[in-house]
Amino acid sequence: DTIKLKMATDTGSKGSPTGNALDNWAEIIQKKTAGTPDEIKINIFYQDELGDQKEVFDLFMAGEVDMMLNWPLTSYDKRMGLRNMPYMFLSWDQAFDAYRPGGWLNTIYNEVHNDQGLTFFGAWPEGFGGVATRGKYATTVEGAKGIKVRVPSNFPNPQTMQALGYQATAITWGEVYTSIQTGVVDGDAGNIIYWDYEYFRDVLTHYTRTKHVFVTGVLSMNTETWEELNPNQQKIVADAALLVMEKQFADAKALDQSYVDKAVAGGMEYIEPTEEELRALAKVAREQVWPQMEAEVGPELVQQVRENAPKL
Amino acid sequence: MLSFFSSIDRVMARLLNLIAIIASVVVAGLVFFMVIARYAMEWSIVGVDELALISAMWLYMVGGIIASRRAEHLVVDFLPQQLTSPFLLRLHQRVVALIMVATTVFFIYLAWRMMSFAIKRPQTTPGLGLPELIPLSSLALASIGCFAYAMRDLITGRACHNPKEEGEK
Amino acid sequence: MGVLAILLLIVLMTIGVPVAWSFAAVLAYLVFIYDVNMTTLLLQGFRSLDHIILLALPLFVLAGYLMKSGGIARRLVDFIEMLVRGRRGGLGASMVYASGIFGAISGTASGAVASIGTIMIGPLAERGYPRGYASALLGISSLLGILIPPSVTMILFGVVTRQSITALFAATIGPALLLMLGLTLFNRFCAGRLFTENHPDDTMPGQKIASRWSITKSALPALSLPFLILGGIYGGICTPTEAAAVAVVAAIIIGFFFYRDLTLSRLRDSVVASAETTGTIMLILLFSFMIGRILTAERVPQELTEWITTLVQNPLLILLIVNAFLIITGMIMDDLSVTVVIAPLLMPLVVSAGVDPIHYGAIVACSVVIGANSPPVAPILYMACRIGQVSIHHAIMPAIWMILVVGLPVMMVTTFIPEVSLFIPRMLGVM
Ligand code: NA
Ligand code: NA
Repeated sequence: DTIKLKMATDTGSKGSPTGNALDNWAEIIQKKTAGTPDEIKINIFYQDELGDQKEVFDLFMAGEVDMMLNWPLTSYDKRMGLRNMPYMFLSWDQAFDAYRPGGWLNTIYNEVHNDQGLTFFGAWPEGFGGVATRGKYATTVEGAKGIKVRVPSNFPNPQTMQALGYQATAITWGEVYTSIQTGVVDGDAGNIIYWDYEYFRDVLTHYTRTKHVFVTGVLSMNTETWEELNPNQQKIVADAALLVMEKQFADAKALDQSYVDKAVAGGMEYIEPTEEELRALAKVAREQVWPQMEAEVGPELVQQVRENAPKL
Repeated sequence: MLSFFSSIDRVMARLLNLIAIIASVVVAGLVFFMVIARYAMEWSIVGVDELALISAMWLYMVGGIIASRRAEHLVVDFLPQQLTSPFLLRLHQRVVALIMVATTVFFIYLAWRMMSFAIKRPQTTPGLGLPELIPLSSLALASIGCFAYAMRDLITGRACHNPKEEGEK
Repeated sequence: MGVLAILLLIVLMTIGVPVAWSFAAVLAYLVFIYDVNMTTLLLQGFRSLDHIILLALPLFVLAGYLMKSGGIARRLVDFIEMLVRGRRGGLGASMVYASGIFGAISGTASGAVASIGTIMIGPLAERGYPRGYASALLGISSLLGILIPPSVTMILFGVVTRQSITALFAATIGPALLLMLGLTLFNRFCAGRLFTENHPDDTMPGQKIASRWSITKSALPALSLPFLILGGIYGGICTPTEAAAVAVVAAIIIGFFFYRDLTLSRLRDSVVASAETTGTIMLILLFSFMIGRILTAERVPQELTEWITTLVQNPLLILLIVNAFLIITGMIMDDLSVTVVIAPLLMPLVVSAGVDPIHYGAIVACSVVIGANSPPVAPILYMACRIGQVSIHHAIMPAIWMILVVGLPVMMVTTFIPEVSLFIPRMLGVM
């Protein structure tokens, strides 16, 4: 008989890029199984429909939600924060190679998710993060001195920004706009340009692509539900996820560029540090933050990153 | 027997007040420190908000127990004020207390389910990695404390009223 | 089914079950009819309380208590009274202004009722103001505390609807000024017509005549507090949450070292009392958040929106319906429940009518001003009567007139002229 699954995302409403990806994933699965004995029906919940990011992740861990495209929290397992490790890649190609099936980061993520009772399918990248600021910007550690930026508080984001020279502070998302406007902080760090343009463009003047983090969501499933599927269904679900991932690797770059164009047309200054500056930033962040990562995610994982990450 | 209960009550009152005071001082102090650190000292501040939030959860829940102890929850007292017959007033109080006992039992059950999950799948805060069981246990404590005082109200017939401000009759 | 839950809530509250446990009972009912997963339910409630923004609530509540125990409220009243001395209706107006300035430091209305009321009702009665009238005026003036930032009501509204507190704070300033103006005019009209004001040229009966300078000098530390709080928020020094902590620290310093009214035992009592007030609010929030989660998951607000929009399409008419709904529920529910349960329920409807969520926040705040003073469920009015030592019956008619002549028009103007609420946030650039 038909299996009914709940699919959710913690970011993006219906019609947003994330929402469309969910629709796409569900549609492929439903089309391939429709009318067969292996029929799967999927109920989709977009951002906020089941609660905020933490709440939906709790539901996912408890098996109340079956499949997700999410930005996994580190609260259950710190190793989930591996994707925030600064400067693991410097290009899209390096990122794709790492996350594709069989890629080194895919293998690591598989293990980490398995330990949490989750089945990992692949990455859903948004692009390289940067620092969006008002009135000033920096491409060097020296230049960043005294620039106050809002940073997501999960490890190692604040530590990375500190290493890059900024003054890091935690402010709830809802107060970021007004905090930049009134001058409590000078900007927002760690997001791709899409979010900074969509939410804060009226109060921002610069976007500097520091590339310190490769922002990506994750396609995964609760393992208990996964094991209720038969091998054919499992293959259909995993293959569909792979298609969604490949499509996003193809689309994300163009989408990201389109927001760069929009931001520039809207009067925002877009800065790309030179290769040399970028390498200098990456060097500092790797030297200062990577050793701290050992205590957080374990020396073995960090060792694997050291072996696989591109040399500077 | 009565003096035994009243001495327990006195100890509880002191303990609850002490926790409330410590939690308030910590919350106000840490949040104030966040301003000083960012604005005056220009320090990066990591995790101070997490410590403040944990203290705040204890403040909220202990505050709730204090309200139960003093039988001072927010209450719409229009109906009891219209009742003149002492019998009807007593009946009214017992019905309300019974509903309070039932709902606090439900609260305890929810807390039990939550704590079971939280112990099976422990979580930590994102910045400092502090165990989430610390703030969660304040909710479990609140459910038990509120139940205990609801039972007291059911047995002693004490009516719940609105919090009184200093200067009120 | 969802509507039945609201009905059950009203029934339980009206028979006198404490609001927190009425919510808990409704939650149990919803869990029963909707087959909710109880493993994560309380965890979701916890997550809703676990917000840094919500820290502003206990801190602004504490600041309100400290204003009274630290002698700040008394200096404010002396100062305002000095400014309006000798005018017709002057003492009544000074209660309005004192509540307004008190509101710029405290986040709640009850703090103003308790401190301004204990100081001013006696002198007002001696001056010839009927106690019922004075208590009604106290009740509605104290609501300036939630219109003038900081405001616990707007903090809660911002948390449940995910809007910026900084913007919401700015949006209720316009309606607050209108309310102050309206109450001053109303009071000026009544003084001498509905009652005779005795010897208006004197100072407050029984008060020593202090020099204008010494009163002003003494009020300066108290008057600096609003500047510290609002200047901190809009001057880019701190977030609303942090401003609340600054307010607490400043109130303690002023109370201890400037006025020396604050003692360690008074400080302890204030902290415990504010913890209790915070606790009662938080238990209510905890259960109402869980109720909100279930209602949203069952798509009750969306269905309510769809149902009303099939009946009515005109945005103005929709706004009128929303206003009526807020006022009626405000009459039969307490202000907290209206803010955290009813207001978010109507939010999709209001947004569909083209109203900005920040503007809607201001409308909700106005409805709370009315609801908290309109019988049968009128917690602030009843509290004002207890402080004013007068039976509720004497205060009801004056309260109804103040609502009809001042409160309702302010709400209507706020609803239909968006600039009233949105002008200041736009000017400050926070939206
Ligand atoms: Na206020
Ligand atoms: Na009312």
